[in-house]
Amino acid sequence: MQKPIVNHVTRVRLALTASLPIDFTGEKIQAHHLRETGNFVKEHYDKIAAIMDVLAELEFRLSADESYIYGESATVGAREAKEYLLAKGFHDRDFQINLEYTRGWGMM
Amino acid sequence: MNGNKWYKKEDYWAILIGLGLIVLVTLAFFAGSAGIFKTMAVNIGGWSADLSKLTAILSGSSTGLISLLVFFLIVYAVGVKVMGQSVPKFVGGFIALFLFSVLISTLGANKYIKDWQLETPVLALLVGLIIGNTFKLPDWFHAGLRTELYVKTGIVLMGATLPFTLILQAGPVAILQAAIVSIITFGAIYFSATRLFKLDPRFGATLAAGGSICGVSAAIAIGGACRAEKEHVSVSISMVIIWAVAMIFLLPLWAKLLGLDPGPAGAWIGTSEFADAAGFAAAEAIGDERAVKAFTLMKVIGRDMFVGVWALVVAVLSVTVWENKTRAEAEKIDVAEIWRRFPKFILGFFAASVLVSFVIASLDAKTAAQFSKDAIGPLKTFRGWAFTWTFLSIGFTTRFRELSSFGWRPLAAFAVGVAINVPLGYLLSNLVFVEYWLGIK
Repeated sequence: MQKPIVNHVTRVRLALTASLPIDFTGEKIQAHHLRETGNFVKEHYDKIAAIMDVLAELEFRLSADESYIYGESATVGAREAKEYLLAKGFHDRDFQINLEYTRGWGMM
Repeated sequence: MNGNKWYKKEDYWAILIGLGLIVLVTLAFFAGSAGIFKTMAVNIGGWSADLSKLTAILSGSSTGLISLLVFFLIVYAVGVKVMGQSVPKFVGGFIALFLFSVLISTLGANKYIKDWQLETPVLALLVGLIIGNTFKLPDWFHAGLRTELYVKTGIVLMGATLPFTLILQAGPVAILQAAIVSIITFGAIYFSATRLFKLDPRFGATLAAGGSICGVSAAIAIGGACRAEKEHVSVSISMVIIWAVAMIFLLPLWAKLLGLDPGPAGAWIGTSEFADAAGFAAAEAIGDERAVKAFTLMKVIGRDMFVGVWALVVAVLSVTVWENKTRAEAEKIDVAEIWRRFPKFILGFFAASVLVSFVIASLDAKTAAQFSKDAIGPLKTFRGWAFTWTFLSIGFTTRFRELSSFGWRPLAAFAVGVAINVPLGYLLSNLVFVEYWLGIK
């Protein structure tokens, strides 16, 4: 069987932190600000979890560090993954995709 | 991103092996033990029809050849092991490759073969291409054919032979010349691919990167950055390989026919050859160290170094212009893209140059001359062996029947780029910047 000229890995990165809609440096911070922030953080995490479900459907391998959730696949292409995520209602700014090709055999 | 550990990448192994060797040779010089490496640094002497002379040369070099084999076998095997590949297969493959390299170097030292202009690099390529395209090579042998690892080791070692002051002087000229050629060639291939031949813009950009920046590595980096289809990257790589192999033979031939000096000839090859490994083969075929130096300055500093910047620009274009989105709504592209796609072995090349230049600058004239002879001399020889393994590996792994099939449109678009790149490279190296390239010592 002919060996592929290139292999690929598609990586999707999801940021665990997001810019909060409230400025905590203001003088008149009130309790409802924290409740709104809590809701915002919950929405953000719910969205990440929903993207993780979609990535799991596509059989991405999931991992994490302190700042990001990562999904990695050697079978799904970057554009295919992006189109699928957009079709599920997510937006371009909800994720970052990195596609890396490597030489399939030891050529120059 | 996660799972992308540095020690799994051959760029870093090339740096560790190349710089490690430079440090060891330097320490051995100051410890008065440079003889170990001088023995290992085997240059097979010239011979003609006298087989008894050949036998004497080979028997006199046997200890050096065995120690050379053992040393590189061990250091490369450690790298292969850490990168998670099969060491037993690599050991078998590397020993076979080494034996081929001894055979080729011996033949390349023959007077009659030299008279036919078949220097070791060209001979290694030809033998590799003939065998690789005629016979099915066993898998274990393939495990030893690490073209990129060998060429990158050679480039790091090359850094030890180029004074850092020369790199600093060469930088602006090489970068300017490379920028002119890369931008014009990229534009020519991209616009002919997309406007004339109606190819997908991502395909056009990948083809253009292969033909203008740094060959296969650029096609891979830019193909990834703009999310080109896998088959488009494969076709672009096939184009690069076909043209790069042709240019290995054509550029040195044209340079000789045109009577070019080694410096401008090397700069022309650095400007117009498509891949590092192929370019070194072509530059070595000129048969003069100045050609190899000019080639390295032009290709590594002028062209390879900027692939990350190209990747960032193309990645931004991909998620905005090609997806019809504004910058605000488009997917966020990290500036870290530049570093992610940067060919890391170049750092080893710079570090090697700085280290050796610093050592030489700190010595008195007499000791510096001795250092050049006893330390840099062997490093040059090791570089020569690394390149011979590279050229053999190119030959053995370039199996034309395994390249992607492609239509006439990508071939035509790439040919437009070649038709512009080669004469433009000649003009810039031999007319516009000729004084500079003639000054390379």
